[in-house]
Amino acid sequence: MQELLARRAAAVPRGVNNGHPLFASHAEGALLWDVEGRRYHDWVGGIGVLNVGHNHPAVAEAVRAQLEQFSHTCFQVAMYEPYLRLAERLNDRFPGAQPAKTIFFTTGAEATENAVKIARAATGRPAVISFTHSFHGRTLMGMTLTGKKAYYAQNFGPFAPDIYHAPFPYEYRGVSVEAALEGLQELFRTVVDPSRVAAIILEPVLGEGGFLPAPHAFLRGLREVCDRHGILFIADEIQSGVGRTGDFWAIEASGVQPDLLTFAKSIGGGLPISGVTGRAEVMDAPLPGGLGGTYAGNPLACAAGLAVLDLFEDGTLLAQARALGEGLHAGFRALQAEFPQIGDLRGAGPMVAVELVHPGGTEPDPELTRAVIAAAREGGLLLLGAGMYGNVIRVLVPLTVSEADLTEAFGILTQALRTATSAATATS
Amino acid sequence: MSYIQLKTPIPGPQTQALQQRRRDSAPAGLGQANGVAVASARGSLVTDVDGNTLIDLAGGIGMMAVGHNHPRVVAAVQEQAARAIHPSSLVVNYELYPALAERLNALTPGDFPKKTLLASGGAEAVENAVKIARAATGRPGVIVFEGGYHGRSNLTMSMTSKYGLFKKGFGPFAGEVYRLPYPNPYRPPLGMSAEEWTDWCCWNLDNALTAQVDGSALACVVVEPIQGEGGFIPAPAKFLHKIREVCDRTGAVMIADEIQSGSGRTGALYACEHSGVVPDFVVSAKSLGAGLPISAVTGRAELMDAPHLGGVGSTYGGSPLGCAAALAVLDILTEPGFLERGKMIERVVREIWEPLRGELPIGDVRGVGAMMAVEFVKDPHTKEPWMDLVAAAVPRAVSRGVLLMRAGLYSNCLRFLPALDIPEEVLREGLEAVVAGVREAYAELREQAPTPVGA
Repeated sequence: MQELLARRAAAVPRGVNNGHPLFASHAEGALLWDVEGRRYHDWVGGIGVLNVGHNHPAVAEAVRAQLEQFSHTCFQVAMYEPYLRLAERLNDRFPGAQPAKTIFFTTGAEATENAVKIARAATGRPAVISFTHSFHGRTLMGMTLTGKKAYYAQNFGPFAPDIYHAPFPYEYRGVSVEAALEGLQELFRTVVDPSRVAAIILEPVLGEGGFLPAPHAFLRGLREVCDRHGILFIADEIQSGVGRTGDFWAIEASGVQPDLLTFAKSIGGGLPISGVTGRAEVMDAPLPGGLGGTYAGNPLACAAGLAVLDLFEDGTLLAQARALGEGLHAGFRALQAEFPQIGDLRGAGPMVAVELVHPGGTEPDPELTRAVIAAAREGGLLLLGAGMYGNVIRVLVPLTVSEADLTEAFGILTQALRTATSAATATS
Repeated sequence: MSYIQLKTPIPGPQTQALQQRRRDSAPAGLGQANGVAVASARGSLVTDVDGNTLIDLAGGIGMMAVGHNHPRVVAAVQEQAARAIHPSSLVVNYELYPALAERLNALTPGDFPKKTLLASGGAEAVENAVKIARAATGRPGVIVFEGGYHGRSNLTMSMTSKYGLFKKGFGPFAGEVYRLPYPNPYRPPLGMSAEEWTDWCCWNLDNALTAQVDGSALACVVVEPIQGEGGFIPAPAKFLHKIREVCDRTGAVMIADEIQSGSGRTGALYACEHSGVVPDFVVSAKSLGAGLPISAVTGRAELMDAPHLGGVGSTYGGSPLGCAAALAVLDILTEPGFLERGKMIERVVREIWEPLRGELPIGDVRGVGAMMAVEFVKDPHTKEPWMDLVAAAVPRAVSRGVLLMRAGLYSNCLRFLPALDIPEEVLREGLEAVVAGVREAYAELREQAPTPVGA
């Protein structure tokens, strides 16, 4: 392992984050093994890519079968049926007004870029509003939209023009729904007139921002603003979609209808695929040839996507997801009773996160968070941080995790919290 | 024997049914070069859903330097898929990532320490190359060239030249991107020879550091050693040397966008090798993965390390399946004799098209290795582009059983991107079908030409 880490340091730039300094050998379901044979419970899921688990047999079989036919023709050059079938099935699942159309890409950032392109083409307007604490990718447009700059944008600019940020509601830290909606109005008055705004883009549950669910009243308020001013509502469901919240799309629980929806991550079960689904008349706005990409909607990934949708077809996986959500909330509530450092427990269904704070207040404790993540890894549990202040632990465990594995992982987490909090007490 | 096997007209009934589903389910803005629906593909042959077998001269837009579903690529992907499909390079490590990085560090031009960042798409790799150049230099400016294509994200659209097709309706675009003329040897300004035009463009590059952006504000110069979408125009070696000199003088990063021209396409592993110019960063994608989505930025280690921890990388970046495919591809490309096949492809393309200059309205036959294009003009003297002819020829060629792409700033070129392992007789049969398609289109449209070709 040390030799492999040295090779990484020599061959790969230091800018690539390395959440856990280990080398994976193989993985299955919610478990991952490193090259030294150690087994880990995986609560990261490749950053929310594995709602159906590592190497789900149905996904692996679909990829294997497609690989025997062909792996790439470029859909713009010569089309293939799995692309259309996946588009049709996602159109049926679109939570906005029908009829819908879908276009596929490869990565989440690419889907974001294209949602903005489609919205600009459809409205003929330039401006886009996103939110503080949001994450929308690492391309120039993605970085500009993202509402967390030091880490993701660094000195990579200058950034894209005509992008504005409105406050995201964060009750735990004093930003109410009313204040956030008023902040948007203030933006309209002072910075950008709503008649110039093409789209508002929002994650229904913030991902990198620390799993803050947008309150339904906020989503309804945004929908009203969009309707009043002819602005398109883009739901970025890249992390929150595909069952992660116990609904197929997170926004469904609110009843609010987006005009466009972006997806990626778990739709491909590990294969790189992303896309935009939206109202057909909006999706048809760009001129022929204006959209596309050489790799977009890769056939292996389409086959994987269809296998993933099959797994959601009869509703039992969503039911399992909701039960998992209850289990996770119960588990963390129990931990909260023992550890006053767990300040906020929140999320939507199994998209659960906790904020670690200095006891007695809400001051973020990123050091403790790092210590807990490291101690959990030592115990055999992979965790992932999040949040503006680096003090959130988010759970992206596969929805298919077994009861026994979940219990064992909670045991490791409890021990990690004990180790980290007692070490923190000892040093303070 | 004939490799093309047509059992129904193209498009056949199954394909037409899929076209209707496509119209209903996918947006109109998604481009379509060929109305063909694929069922399977092997090497350079593609079978459609109606059972027709076609010869692939498009390679999924230049992605198959190694042909479709090469058994070693398939085996490498299958083996990795059975182990772990997506551990994510941001969460944990897997050996394939540094293994591919090491391979690219060793194979790319330049005898200096290098590092490689892996991503998924070509545009994502270009975005990262610019990010790293900006972080390393602390400067904003990016110089690109007319006719260039670098992708469809906001920044890469800003860097791309062809507005109508790639950019219309999608702005505003990114700042600090400066676009300079490119010395296309076929289209020098009136009264200039190709050599004078190259000299002027070299002068203009110096001049731009006064007229457009000061050297102290220049982060990078991004150039395709052979323009792809622009129409397969090799940059004159003199011009690439001039870019190198300007970058050395100003401290800007020279970035070779080898997404289409690299990974063996031209018969060299990277097209810039033909000129002897060594860029600071090489961007690769397309043929690197032979069908799997993977891209890379390989460059000087000290520059690549400029962004601080967490500043680069992505959820899918360097996916294990893509790494496995790329390692198999690089093994194949570096086998003795494999890249040599590029010479055969260039020779055959020239043998077939050059003699047709008098008969068909051909303005130029150009390219290197397996990256060849033919440009069509209404008049060989004014060189007025004949886009309609190409638009009419493509479906006619497709109906004869080839997959084909157009190219060029004026959409008046046919480009050929065959696999390097295409057998010569398959290539000849495919190209003859294209010739027949062009002949038919020309017979119908020739009255559009102002004067008889060759007059």
